Amino acid sequence: MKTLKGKIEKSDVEGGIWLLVTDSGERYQLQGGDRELYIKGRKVSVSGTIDEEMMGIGMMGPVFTVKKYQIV
Amino acid sequence: MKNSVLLCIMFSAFLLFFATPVRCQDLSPSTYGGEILDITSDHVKGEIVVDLKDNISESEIQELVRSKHIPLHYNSPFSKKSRLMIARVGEDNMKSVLDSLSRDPRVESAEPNYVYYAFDEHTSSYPNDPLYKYQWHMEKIKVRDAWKYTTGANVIVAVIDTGVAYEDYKNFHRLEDLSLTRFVSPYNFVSRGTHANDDHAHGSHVAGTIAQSTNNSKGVAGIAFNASIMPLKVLSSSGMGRTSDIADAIKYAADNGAKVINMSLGGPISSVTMEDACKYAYNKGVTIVCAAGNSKSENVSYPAAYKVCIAVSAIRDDDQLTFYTNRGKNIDIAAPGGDLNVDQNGDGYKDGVLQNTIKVKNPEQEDYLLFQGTSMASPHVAGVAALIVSLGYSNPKVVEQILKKSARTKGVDDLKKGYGAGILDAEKAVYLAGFIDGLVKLLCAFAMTGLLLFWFRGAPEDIRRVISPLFLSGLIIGSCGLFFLPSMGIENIPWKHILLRGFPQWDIAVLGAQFHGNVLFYSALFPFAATFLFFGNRFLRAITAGFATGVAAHLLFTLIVRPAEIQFIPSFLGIDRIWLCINCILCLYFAYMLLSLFSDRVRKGEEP
Repeated sequence: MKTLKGKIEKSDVEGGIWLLVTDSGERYQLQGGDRELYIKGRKVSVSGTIDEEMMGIGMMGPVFTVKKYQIV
Repeated sequence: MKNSVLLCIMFSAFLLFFATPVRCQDLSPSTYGGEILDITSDHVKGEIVVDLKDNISESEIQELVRSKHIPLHYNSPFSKKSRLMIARVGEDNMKSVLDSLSRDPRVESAEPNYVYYAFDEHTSSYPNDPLYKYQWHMEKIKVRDAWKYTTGANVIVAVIDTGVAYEDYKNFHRLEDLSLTRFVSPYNFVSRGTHANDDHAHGSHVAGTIAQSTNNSKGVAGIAFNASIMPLKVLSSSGMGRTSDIADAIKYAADNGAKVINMSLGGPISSVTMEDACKYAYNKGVTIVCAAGNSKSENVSYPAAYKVCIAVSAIRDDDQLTFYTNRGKNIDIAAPGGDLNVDQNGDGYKDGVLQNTIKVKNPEQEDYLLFQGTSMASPHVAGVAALIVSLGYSNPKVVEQILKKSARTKGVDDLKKGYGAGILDAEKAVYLAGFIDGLVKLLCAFAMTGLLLFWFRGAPEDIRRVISPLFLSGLIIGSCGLFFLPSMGIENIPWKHILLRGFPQWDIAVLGAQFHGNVLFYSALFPFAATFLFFGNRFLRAITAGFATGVAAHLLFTLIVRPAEIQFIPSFLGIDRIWLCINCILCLYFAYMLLSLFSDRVRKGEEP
């Protein structure tokens, strides 16, 4: 389990990709969580795993599967 | 004398054999229709097409003619049942008569008699898809010029993605602008089943760029619109999927006849399973095209970064790299990916790539959406790869080289930045493919000439005769045509389908066939007819000898290098190959006979 802190952003490439941009500037593509998580500009702390087995249309960073999250 | 009698008998036999009527392959609706034109001005002057209600009687029609003072007559004997009539009213009265007819309850519809032109792939005319004018990305890669040569027939392109809206199934629907597109062997690797429908919008958009139904008076165009799409769903509605499923899909595509794979997907982490699958497909002759990724970094994502895959970066309308595209030295080629922040062409819309797809994550509704991403650039390259493959290329290495060598470097400031070999150019790519083809045919022609000389055992006067300009011009007409002209920078060549091709490939221009492989052209018939007609004339005899040798070379080329489906000749047990072989030998024999007619040995009545 890994915990990341950062801001939720939506890139408008590929019809829309949800990202977590960490405080250090790294980008992760998010999966999991619920509607409350996916709000642009929301500062969050997410816990979960980097899924090395996953690929996708975003091609903007590793896929992070959210197990739980907290709005900061 | 003995020779001419033999010729007469053989010619009669040939005519009898071919007495069956010639049927050109039907043109699919997707290749014929109308051209973009100013519909208000382009109609038959003073004519209105009136479609009356089907249940209306003859006396009611007479009553209509009397009351409106409009002379009506049937469009054709076939239009009696459908009550389709033509009114000749004069150009000045058009508007008032149209108004009056449109309001009449007996009339279903009334409109000017528009002139529709057949969309001629052999010219650069526009397709009639109304939204084509917003597809700047198609014009950027000069796709219309490539259509003069091929539209991708007989090639299967696997789209490994979120699925494709290709069928009516449960709450899924086939897109209106995929209505004429062919689909084969779909598979859903996410839920395991044969329904690979799109629940995201990404995959359908990508498939549209490759093979949207084109020239169907609807929506937009696709690059290789006569190719078949193999929809393979590996990504869920979230746009993500497992590498194991992607690897399975790559192998499935290779095993089920796909010759091109498009993967507008990726990730930053390499996978051995996926790399192995890519190598497997590559070794089976599949060209694999992948999006380079959208993180504006030098690290091209996987699978694009694998050596066997073609990594595609994205440019916008002014040829600059887009703000999102991955770049660097690992890019193979650049193609339009769109930029939704700008409208550089001033068409009133942001410069995204425009295709027909479902509404995002809503398969029940469809739309024409502007997308941006390297995912949009990749299918442009896959489409052109399909065009090249349809010309007969089966080696992915050669396909990649053709794509790269033909890429445009003009106006690209620094290739190291991330353009790879340059910007995709569909027109140059098919030209180059044609050039290589022509060169190989010419080599075949020289080989055949060598064989003839060997047959004559190389007597000096025979060699002189064979190397005469007349013989050589016949040789080029029969084998390869003036295939080198476009590569010399000569543009606007008239009669391209004849001048730039060897005789058997004239079938498209002469008969309007859609594919090469007409049984009459891919036989010894024409060399034989020419032999029969021209053996009496010294000059024509020399040209015909060259022509027959050239056709023999072309048939040999078809036999060995570039197998074609010969009309009416079955391919099982290699019957088509036997056909080519026999006709090739016959052609060579005619050439031999013509040349030996020159020979003193024949004039003296000796055996040649």
